[in-house]
Amino acid sequence: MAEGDPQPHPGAARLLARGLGPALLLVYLAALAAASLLPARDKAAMLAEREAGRAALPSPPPPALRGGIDNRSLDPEEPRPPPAPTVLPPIENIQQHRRQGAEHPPQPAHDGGQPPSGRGHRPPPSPGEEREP
Amino acid sequence: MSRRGLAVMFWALLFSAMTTMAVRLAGLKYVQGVVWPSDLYAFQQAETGPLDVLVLGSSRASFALPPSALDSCLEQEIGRPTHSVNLARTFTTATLAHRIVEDLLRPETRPQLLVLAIGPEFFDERNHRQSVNVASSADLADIPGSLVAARDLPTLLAALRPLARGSETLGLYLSGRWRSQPGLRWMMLHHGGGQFCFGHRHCDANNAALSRSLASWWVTAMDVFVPALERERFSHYTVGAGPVHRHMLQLARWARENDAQLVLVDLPRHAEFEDRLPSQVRSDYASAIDRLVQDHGAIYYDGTHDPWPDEREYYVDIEHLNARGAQVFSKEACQDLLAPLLRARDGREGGT
Repeated sequence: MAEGDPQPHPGAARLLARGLGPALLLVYLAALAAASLLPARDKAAMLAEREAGRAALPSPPPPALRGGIDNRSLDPEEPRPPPAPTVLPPIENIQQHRRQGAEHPPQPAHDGGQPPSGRGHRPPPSPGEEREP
Repeated sequence: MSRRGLAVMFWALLFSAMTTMAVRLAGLKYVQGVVWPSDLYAFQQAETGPLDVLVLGSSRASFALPPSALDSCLEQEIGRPTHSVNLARTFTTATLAHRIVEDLLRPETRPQLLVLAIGPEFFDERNHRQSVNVASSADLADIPGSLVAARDLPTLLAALRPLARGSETLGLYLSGRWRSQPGLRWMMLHHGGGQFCFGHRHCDANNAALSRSLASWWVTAMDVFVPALERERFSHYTVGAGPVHRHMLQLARWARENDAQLVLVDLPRHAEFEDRLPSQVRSDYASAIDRLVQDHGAIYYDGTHDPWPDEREYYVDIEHLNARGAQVFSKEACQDLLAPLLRARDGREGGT
């Protein structure tokens, strides 16, 4: 403040300082209230996008999070041998093969027509059913 | 410090905490810096449910169980359209899975089957990235408990994150950060999330492009992650007592109270990963699963059996399935586990 300018009244300065806090709070609350309305706009836009059907992918998928050397064996264009059949070995073999150290016996079958649960225990396929890879 | 300085700090903290509360109330909590692998905000805004299958887990879950593959199989198996969603987040433990269920599911989106797609790290109190779980999901009321549970500097700082997260989230939202992954939003809105999708011509392009972008993961995993795997992830493996365990119990209770069947799916892991699991970790992990099965009615499905451990053909890296692996594994899980469960529940509801 240049010398000779009128000095603010000390009381007015104090009043201004006291009013600044509530004013800032009001601005802050108003900004939050305005921001809280925006998700409704997003929701309408996303629902419309979904309703519009399965349009083309809008952009390339997310980039790999890790960089590195190209791995040809994962290139989808490269011809591959057919995958191994998914027929399961007997449960006992699974237990021995996968759970060395775990030492958990299979659980008894679950009642009520639901699949059983328990370590290493998988319900058998339905009769006549064949899985394909 | 002067009285004025303390006052400034007090008001800054108060405003920051209020912002966190307001952001949460506005439904913006899951507008976060890291969107990948699931656009949770898109789910929160656009999902109207009801859900048949909800998949929760880490990035492994986002690769292994694509909802479109599950729905395609389930529809065929049980004779009606189904609706599955995958809400995987990176490094998810029971802590984050419980938070997501509490924060994002409404009564109308309650799932029939709550599928926790797990690995040993899911129950680990000393998970090497537990700080990420806490920082991304804890609320103001959790700060005291998180501080008490913190065992290192990252989790200590994460415990305080709710104080600042609201302001950060608001900034991310207003800057349009939530729009930065249109591919993930597309996956969530049209295919229920996950990394791969099937049954639509655009999915082929998505899967192929994603596979190309992930082509280096195997080599990177072998060079960088495998040498440090045991030390980094399992040197302090702890299950059965602590905040992760408490969140797991709360999650089991949520499932019971909401009539959702809790299902544990042990995801395939390549032998390069599996063989590095210490025997004590295997044993503790198995015990944690057994307790959930026996005490909380969870149904367990072991997806780690042959041929998964040895078929590199199915993997992006040592712990994530590729599109082919995801398709095969989803079909197995659907036919052996999920379809019978849904069929039984449909029968129960039809009979009442």
